[in-house]
Amino acid sequence: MDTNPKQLNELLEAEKQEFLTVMSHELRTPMTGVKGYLSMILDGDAGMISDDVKEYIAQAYVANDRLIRLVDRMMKTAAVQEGKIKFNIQKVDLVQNLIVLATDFQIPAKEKKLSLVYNKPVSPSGGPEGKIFVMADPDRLREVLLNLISNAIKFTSSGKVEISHRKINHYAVVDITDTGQGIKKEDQNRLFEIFNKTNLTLAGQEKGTGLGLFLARKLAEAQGGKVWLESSEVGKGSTFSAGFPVAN
Amino acid sequence: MKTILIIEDDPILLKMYAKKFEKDGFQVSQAVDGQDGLDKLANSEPAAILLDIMLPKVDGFEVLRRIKEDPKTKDIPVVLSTNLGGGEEDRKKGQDLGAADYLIKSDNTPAQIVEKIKGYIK
Repeated sequence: MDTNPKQLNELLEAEKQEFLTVMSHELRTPMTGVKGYLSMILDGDAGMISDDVKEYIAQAYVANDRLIRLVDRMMKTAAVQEGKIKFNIQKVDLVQNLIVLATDFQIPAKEKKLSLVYNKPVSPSGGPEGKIFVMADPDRLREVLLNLISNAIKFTSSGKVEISHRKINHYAVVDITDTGQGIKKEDQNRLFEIFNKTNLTLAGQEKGTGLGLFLARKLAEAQGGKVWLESSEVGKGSTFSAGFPVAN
Repeated sequence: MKTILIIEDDPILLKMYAKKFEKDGFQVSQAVDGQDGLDKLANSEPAAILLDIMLPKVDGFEVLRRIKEDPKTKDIPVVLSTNLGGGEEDRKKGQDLGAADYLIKSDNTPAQIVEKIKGYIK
Protein backbone atom coordinates (compact mmCIF):
# COMPACT_ATOMS: atom_id res chain seq x y z
CA MET A 1 0.00 0.00 0.00
CA ASP A 2 1.41 3.37 -0.93
CA THR A 3 -1.56 5.32 0.43
CA ASN A 4 -1.42 6.55 4.01
CA PRO A 5 -4.61 6.70 6.13
CA LYS A 6 -5.03 10.46 5.60
CA GLN A 7 -4.76 10.15 1.84
CA LEU A 8 -7.12 7.18 1.88
CA ASN A 9 -9.63 9.18 3.86
CA GLU A 10 -9.41 12.10 1.43
CA LEU A 11 -9.83 9.69 -1.45
CA LEU A 12 -12.93 8.18 0.14
CA GLU A 13 -14.38 11.63 0.85
CA ALA A 14 -13.86 12.69 -2.75
CA GLU A 15 -15.42 9.45 -3.95
CA LYS A 16 -18.41 9.89 -1.68
CA GLN A 17 -19.03 13.36 -3.10
CA GLU A 18 -18.61 12.06 -6.64
CA PHE A 19 -21.00 9.22 -5.82
CA LEU A 20 -23.65 11.65 -4.56
CA THR A 21 -23.35 13.88 -7.61
CA VAL A 22 -23.64 10.95 -10.00
CA MET A 23 -26.50 9.37 -8.03
CA SER A 24 -28.40 12.64 -8.03
CA HIS A 25 -28.01 12.95 -11.79
CA GLU A 26 -28.82 9.28 -12.41
CA LEU A 27 -31.99 9.46 -10.30
CA ARG A 28 -33.23 12.73 -11.72
CA THR A 29 -32.94 11.71 -15.35
CA PRO A 30 -35.50 8.85 -15.31
CA MET A 31 -37.76 10.92 -13.02
CA THR A 32 -37.62 13.71 -15.61
CA GLY A 33 -38.76 11.19 -18.21
CA VAL A 34 -41.68 10.09 -16.03
CA LYS A 35 -42.66 13.70 -15.28
CA GLY A 36 -42.37 14.76 -18.92
CA TYR A 37 -44.34 11.92 -20.48
CA LEU A 38 -47.06 12.08 -17.82
CA SER A 39 -47.39 15.82 -18.37
CA MET A 40 -47.68 15.24 -22.12
CA ILE A 41 -50.51 12.74 -21.59
CA LEU A 42 -52.22 15.33 -19.37
CA ASP A 43 -51.63 17.99 -22.06
CA GLY A 44 -53.60 15.79 -24.45
CA ASP A 45 -50.58 15.10 -26.67
CA ALA A 46 -51.47 11.40 -26.84
CA GLY A 47 -55.13 12.09 -27.61
CA MET A 48 -58.27 12.36 -25.50
CA ILE A 49 -58.31 10.53 -22.17
CA SER A 50 -61.20 9.86 -19.80
CA ASP A 51 -61.55 11.77 -16.55
CA ASP A 52 -60.58 8.65 -14.58
CA VAL A 53 -57.38 8.20 -16.55
CA LYS A 54 -56.66 11.90 -16.18
CA GLU A 55 -57.04 11.68 -12.42
CA TYR A 56 -54.82 8.61 -12.10
CA ILE A 57 -52.14 10.15 -14.28
CA ALA A 58 -52.34 13.36 -12.24
CA GLN A 59 -51.81 11.34 -9.05
CA ALA A 60 -48.79 9.59 -10.57
CA TYR A 61 -47.45 13.01 -11.60
CA VAL A 62 -47.79 14.33 -8.03
CA ALA A 63 -46.15 11.21 -6.57
CA ASN A 64 -43.25 11.53 -8.98
CA ASP A 65 -42.82 15.21 -8.12
CA ARG A 66 -42.61 14.22 -4.48
CA LEU A 67 -39.87 11.78 -5.37
CA ILE A 68 -37.99 14.52 -7.23
CA ARG A 69 -38.29 16.80 -4.19
CA LEU A 70 -37.09 14.03 -1.91
CA VAL A 71 -34.00 13.40 -4.03
CA ASP A 72 -33.28 17.15 -4.13
CA ARG A 73 -33.52 17.42 -0.37
CA MET A 74 -31.47 14.30 0.25
CA MET A 75 -28.71 15.64 -1.96
CA LYS A 76 -28.84 19.01 -0.27
CA THR A 77 -28.80 17.36 3.15
CA ALA A 78 -25.74 15.36 2.18
CA ALA A 79 -24.06 18.49 0.85
CA VAL A 80 -24.80 20.44 4.05
CA GLN A 81 -23.53 17.63 6.26
CA GLU A 82 -20.38 17.36 4.21
CA GLY A 83 -19.91 21.11 4.46
CA LYS A 84 -20.01 21.25 0.68
CA ILE A 85 -22.45 24.15 0.37
CA LYS A 86 -20.72 27.48 -0.07
CA PHE A 87 -22.26 30.38 1.80
CA ASN A 88 -21.94 33.84 0.42
CA ILE A 89 -22.58 35.84 3.59
CA GLN A 90 -23.55 39.45 3.02
CA LYS A 91 -25.83 42.20 4.26
CA VAL A 92 -29.40 41.24 3.34
CA ASP A 93 -32.69 43.02 3.96
CA LEU A 94 -34.92 40.55 5.78
CA VAL A 95 -38.03 42.65 5.15
CA GLN A 96 -37.63 42.74 1.37
CA ASN A 97 -37.24 38.95 1.31
CA LEU A 98 -40.33 38.46 3.44
CA ILE A 99 -42.39 40.81 1.29
CA VAL A 100 -41.58 38.67 -1.75
CA LEU A 101 -42.25 35.40 0.09
CA ALA A 102 -45.50 36.65 1.63
CA THR A 103 -46.67 37.70 -1.85
CA ASP A 104 -45.68 34.37 -3.42
CA PHE A 105 -47.47 32.40 -0.72
CA GLN A 106 -50.76 34.29 -1.07
CA ILE A 107 -51.81 31.83 -3.79
CA PRO A 108 -51.34 28.57 -1.84
CA ALA A 109 -52.82 30.26 1.25
CA LYS A 110 -55.90 31.35 -0.68
CA GLU A 111 -56.32 27.84 -2.11
CA LYS A 112 -56.70 26.61 1.49
CA LYS A 113 -58.83 29.63 2.47
CA LEU A 114 -56.18 30.72 4.97
CA SER A 115 -55.21 34.31 5.55
CA LEU A 116 -51.51 34.99 5.34
CA VAL A 117 -50.54 38.17 7.16
CA TYR A 118 -47.15 39.82 7.19
CA ASN A 119 -46.70 42.39 9.95
CA LYS A 120 -44.01 44.58 8.47
CA PRO A 121 -41.76 46.46 10.87
CA VAL A 122 -42.32 50.17 11.23
CA SER A 123 -39.41 52.31 10.11
CA PRO A 124 -37.74 54.63 12.66
CA SER A 125 -39.24 57.61 10.84
CA GLY A 126 -42.71 56.15 11.36
CA GLY A 127 -43.09 55.08 7.74
CA PRO A 128 -44.52 51.67 6.92
CA GLU A 129 -41.45 50.33 5.07
CA GLY A 130 -38.84 49.50 7.68
CA LYS A 131 -35.72 47.58 6.80
CA ILE A 132 -33.92 44.98 8.87
CA PHE A 133 -30.45 44.08 7.69
CA VAL A 134 -28.96 40.75 8.71
CA MET A 135 -25.77 38.92 7.77
CA ALA A 136 -26.71 35.87 5.68
CA ASP A 137 -26.47 34.18 2.32
CA PRO A 138 -29.48 35.60 0.42
CA ASP A 139 -30.46 32.32 -1.31
CA ARG A 140 -30.09 30.19 1.82
CA LEU A 141 -31.89 32.75 3.97
CA ARG A 142 -34.84 32.64 1.58
CA GLU A 143 -34.74 28.84 1.63
CA VAL A 144 -35.00 28.74 5.43
CA LEU A 145 -37.90 31.21 5.56
CA LEU A 146 -39.64 29.57 2.61
CA ASN A 147 -39.49 26.23 4.36
CA LEU A 148 -41.07 27.58 7.56
CA ILE A 149 -43.82 29.51 5.78
CA SER A 150 -44.67 26.63 3.46
CA ASN A 151 -44.85 24.23 6.45
CA ALA A 152 -47.16 26.60 8.29
CA ILE A 153 -49.52 26.72 5.32
CA LYS A 154 -49.28 23.01 4.63
CA PHE A 155 -50.12 21.96 8.18
CA THR A 156 -52.88 24.48 8.86
CA SER A 157 -56.39 23.62 7.72
CA SER A 158 -58.22 26.76 8.84
CA GLY A 159 -57.47 30.18 10.26
CA LYS A 160 -54.32 32.13 9.55
CA VAL A 161 -50.58 32.21 9.25
CA GLU A 162 -48.89 35.31 10.61
CA ILE A 163 -45.33 36.49 10.06
CA SER A 164 -43.86 39.01 12.48
CA HIS A 165 -40.58 40.41 13.71
CA ARG A 166 -38.84 40.82 17.02
CA LYS A 167 -35.30 41.31 18.23
CA ILE A 168 -33.44 39.11 20.71
CA ASN A 169 -29.99 40.42 21.63
CA HIS A 170 -28.14 40.77 18.34
CA TYR A 171 -30.53 38.49 16.44
CA ALA A 172 -33.32 39.64 14.16
CA VAL A 173 -36.03 37.04 14.72
CA VAL A 174 -38.87 36.13 12.38
CA ASP A 175 -41.85 34.40 14.00
CA ILE A 176 -44.19 32.34 11.87
CA THR A 177 -47.35 31.60 13.79
CA ASP A 178 -50.09 29.32 12.54
CA THR A 179 -53.49 28.19 13.77
CA GLY A 180 -52.76 24.60 12.79
CA GLN A 181 -53.32 21.53 14.95
CA GLY A 182 -50.17 22.02 16.99
CA ILE A 183 -47.48 19.51 17.85
CA LYS A 184 -47.68 17.05 20.74
CA LYS A 185 -45.12 17.56 23.52
CA GLU A 186 -43.53 14.14 22.90
CA ASP A 187 -43.07 14.97 19.21
CA GLN A 188 -41.60 18.42 19.72
CA ASN A 189 -37.98 17.51 20.35
CA ARG A 190 -37.89 15.07 17.42
CA LEU A 191 -39.08 17.73 14.98
CA PHE A 192 -35.65 18.77 13.80
CA GLU A 193 -34.24 15.27 13.53
CA ILE A 194 -33.41 13.87 10.14
CA PHE A 195 -36.33 11.92 8.61
CA ASN A 196 -38.59 12.82 11.50
CA LYS A 197 -41.96 11.25 11.03
CA THR A 198 -44.01 13.69 13.09
CA ASN A 199 -45.80 14.92 10.00
CA LEU A 200 -46.93 11.42 9.09
CA THR A 201 -49.43 11.55 11.92
CA LEU A 202 -51.41 14.20 10.07
CA ALA A 203 -54.18 12.35 8.27
CA GLY A 204 -55.23 13.36 4.79
CA GLN A 205 -52.37 15.83 4.37
CA GLU A 206 -49.69 15.91 1.79
CA LYS A 207 -46.86 14.00 3.43
CA GLY A 208 -43.58 15.77 4.06
CA THR A 209 -40.16 14.43 3.27
CA GLY A 210 -39.04 14.56 6.91
CA LEU A 211 -36.06 16.60 5.80
CA GLY A 212 -37.41 20.14 5.57
CA LEU A 213 -36.98 21.28 9.18
CA PHE A 214 -33.72 19.40 9.58
CA LEU A 215 -32.39 21.16 6.50
CA ALA A 216 -33.78 24.56 7.52
CA ARG A 217 -32.01 24.35 10.88
CA LYS A 218 -28.74 23.14 9.36
CA LEU A 219 -28.80 25.87 6.70
CA ALA A 220 -29.56 28.54 9.30
CA GLU A 221 -26.82 27.35 11.65
CA ALA A 222 -24.23 27.18 8.88
CA GLN A 223 -24.69 30.92 8.35
CA GLY A 224 -24.72 31.88 12.01
CA GLY A 225 -28.49 31.77 12.45
CA LYS A 226 -30.94 29.62 14.36
CA VAL A 227 -34.28 27.91 13.77
CA TRP A 228 -36.47 26.66 16.60
CA LEU A 229 -39.97 25.83 17.72
CA GLU A 230 -40.98 28.77 19.91
CA SER A 231 -44.23 27.30 21.16
CA SER A 232 -46.89 24.84 20.20
CA GLU A 233 -50.14 23.69 21.70
CA VAL A 234 -52.30 20.88 20.40
CA GLY A 235 -55.47 22.29 18.90
CA LYS A 236 -54.22 25.89 18.98
CA GLY A 237 -51.23 26.11 16.65
CA SER A 238 -47.49 26.64 16.58
CA THR A 239 -44.90 29.36 16.28
CA PHE A 240 -41.65 28.56 14.52
CA SER A 241 -38.85 31.11 14.70
CA ALA A 242 -35.74 31.87 12.70
CA GLY A 243 -33.06 34.27 13.93
CA PHE A 244 -30.18 35.77 12.00
CA PRO A 245 -27.39 38.05 13.24
CA VAL A 246 -28.19 41.71 12.75
CA ALA A 247 -25.77 43.47 10.38
CA ASN A 248 -23.89 46.43 11.78
CA MET B 1 -40.76 25.97 -40.36
CA LYS B 2 -38.29 26.77 -37.60
CA THR B 3 -35.75 24.17 -36.51
CA ILE B 4 -34.71 23.34 -32.97
CA LEU B 5 -31.47 21.47 -32.37
CA ILE B 6 -31.70 19.21 -29.31
CA ILE B 7 -28.42 17.84 -27.97
CA GLU B 8 -29.27 15.21 -25.35
CA ASP B 9 -27.65 11.85 -24.67
CA ASP B 10 -30.55 10.21 -22.84
CA PRO B 11 -32.66 8.59 -25.60
CA ILE B 12 -35.90 8.73 -23.60
CA LEU B 13 -35.57 12.46 -22.88
CA LEU B 14 -34.36 13.20 -26.41
CA LYS B 15 -37.44 11.56 -27.90
CA MET B 16 -39.68 13.30 -25.36
CA TYR B 17 -38.41 16.82 -26.09
CA ALA B 18 -38.38 16.11 -29.85
CA LYS B 19 -42.04 15.00 -29.75
CA LYS B 20 -43.08 18.07 -27.79
CA PHE B 21 -41.33 20.51 -30.14
CA GLU B 22 -42.80 18.72 -33.18
CA LYS B 23 -46.28 18.94 -31.62
CA ASP B 24 -45.68 22.66 -31.33
CA GLY B 25 -44.87 22.97 -35.04
CA PHE B 26 -41.08 22.94 -34.99
CA GLN B 27 -38.76 20.88 -37.09
CA VAL B 28 -36.35 19.00 -34.82
CA SER B 29 -32.74 18.10 -35.37
CA GLN B 30 -31.48 15.57 -32.81
CA ALA B 31 -27.94 14.95 -31.59
CA VAL B 32 -26.84 12.30 -29.07
CA ASP B 33 -23.50 13.75 -27.95
CA GLY B 34 -21.51 16.98 -28.07
CA GLN B 35 -19.60 16.14 -31.24
CA ASP B 36 -22.78 14.99 -32.99
CA GLY B 37 -24.35 18.31 -31.99
CA LEU B 38 -21.51 20.37 -33.47
CA ASP B 39 -21.65 18.26 -36.67
CA LYS B 40 -25.41 18.75 -37.00
CA LEU B 41 -24.94 22.47 -36.43
CA ALA B 42 -22.43 22.69 -39.28
CA ASN B 43 -25.12 21.95 -41.85
CA SER B 44 -28.27 23.40 -40.35
CA GLU B 45 -29.47 26.76 -39.08
CA PRO B 46 -31.53 26.14 -35.97
CA ALA B 47 -33.60 28.94 -34.45
CA ALA B 48 -32.51 27.76 -30.99
CA ILE B 49 -30.56 24.99 -29.29
CA LEU B 50 -31.52 22.92 -26.26
CA LEU B 51 -28.23 21.73 -24.84
CA ASP B 52 -27.58 19.13 -22.13
CA ILE B 53 -24.43 19.66 -20.02
CA MET B 54 -23.28 16.15 -19.15
CA LEU B 55 -22.62 14.75 -22.64
CA PRO B 56 -20.30 12.10 -24.07
CA LYS B 57 -17.32 13.14 -26.22
CA VAL B 58 -17.65 16.93 -25.92
CA ASP B 59 -19.49 18.27 -22.84
CA GLY B 60 -22.20 20.91 -22.99
CA PHE B 61 -20.08 23.80 -21.72
CA GLU B 62 -17.47 23.11 -24.40
CA VAL B 63 -20.17 22.85 -27.09
CA LEU B 64 -21.56 26.18 -25.88
CA ARG B 65 -18.11 27.77 -25.96
CA ARG B 66 -17.57 26.67 -29.56
CA ILE B 67 -21.04 27.82 -30.64
CA LYS B 68 -20.41 31.28 -29.19
CA GLU B 69 -16.91 31.45 -30.70
CA ASP B 70 -18.11 30.84 -34.23
CA PRO B 71 -19.45 34.02 -35.90
CA LYS B 72 -21.88 31.89 -37.92
CA THR B 73 -23.55 30.41 -34.82
CA LYS B 74 -22.89 32.90 -32.02
CA ASP B 75 -26.31 34.57 -32.27
CA ILE B 76 -28.33 31.37 -31.92
CA PRO B 77 -29.96 31.29 -28.46
CA VAL B 78 -28.71 28.32 -26.44
CA VAL B 79 -30.66 27.04 -23.44
CA LEU B 80 -28.71 24.76 -21.13
CA SER B 81 -30.74 21.98 -19.57
CA THR B 82 -29.32 19.80 -16.85
CA ASN B 83 -30.05 17.52 -13.96
CA LEU B 84 -26.66 18.14 -12.41
CA GLY B 85 -26.85 19.60 -8.95
CA GLY B 86 -24.19 22.18 -9.79
CA GLY B 87 -26.43 25.09 -8.83
CA GLU B 88 -25.30 28.68 -8.94
CA GLU B 89 -21.76 27.90 -10.02
CA ASP B 90 -22.87 26.07 -13.17
CA ARG B 91 -25.57 28.63 -13.85
CA LYS B 92 -22.99 31.39 -13.72
CA LYS B 93 -20.55 29.46 -15.88
CA GLY B 94 -23.30 29.00 -18.50
CA GLN B 95 -24.21 32.68 -18.32
CA ASP B 96 -20.58 33.75 -18.72
CA LEU B 97 -20.26 31.52 -21.77
CA GLY B 98 -23.32 33.18 -23.31
CA ALA B 99 -26.21 30.81 -22.60
CA ALA B 100 -29.67 32.39 -22.87
CA ASP B 101 -30.95 30.35 -19.93
CA TYR B 102 -30.13 27.51 -17.57
CA LEU B 103 -32.90 25.04 -16.73
CA ILE B 104 -33.11 22.15 -14.32
CA LYS B 105 -34.74 19.36 -16.31
CA SER B 106 -36.58 17.75 -13.40
CA ASP B 107 -38.16 21.12 -12.48
CA ASN B 108 -39.68 21.64 -15.93
CA THR B 109 -42.24 19.83 -18.06
CA PRO B 110 -41.53 19.61 -21.81
CA ALA B 111 -44.31 22.18 -22.36
CA GLN B 112 -42.53 24.64 -20.03
CA ILE B 113 -39.24 24.10 -21.85
CA VAL B 114 -40.89 24.71 -25.24
CA GLU B 115 -42.45 27.92 -23.91
CA LYS B 116 -39.13 29.16 -22.51
CA ILE B 117 -37.27 28.44 -25.74
CA LYS B 118 -39.96 30.19 -27.77
CA GLY B 119 -39.32 33.25 -25.66
CA TYR B 120 -35.73 33.39 -26.86
CA ILE B 121 -36.44 32.97 -30.58
CA LYS B 122 -36.46 36.26 -32.44
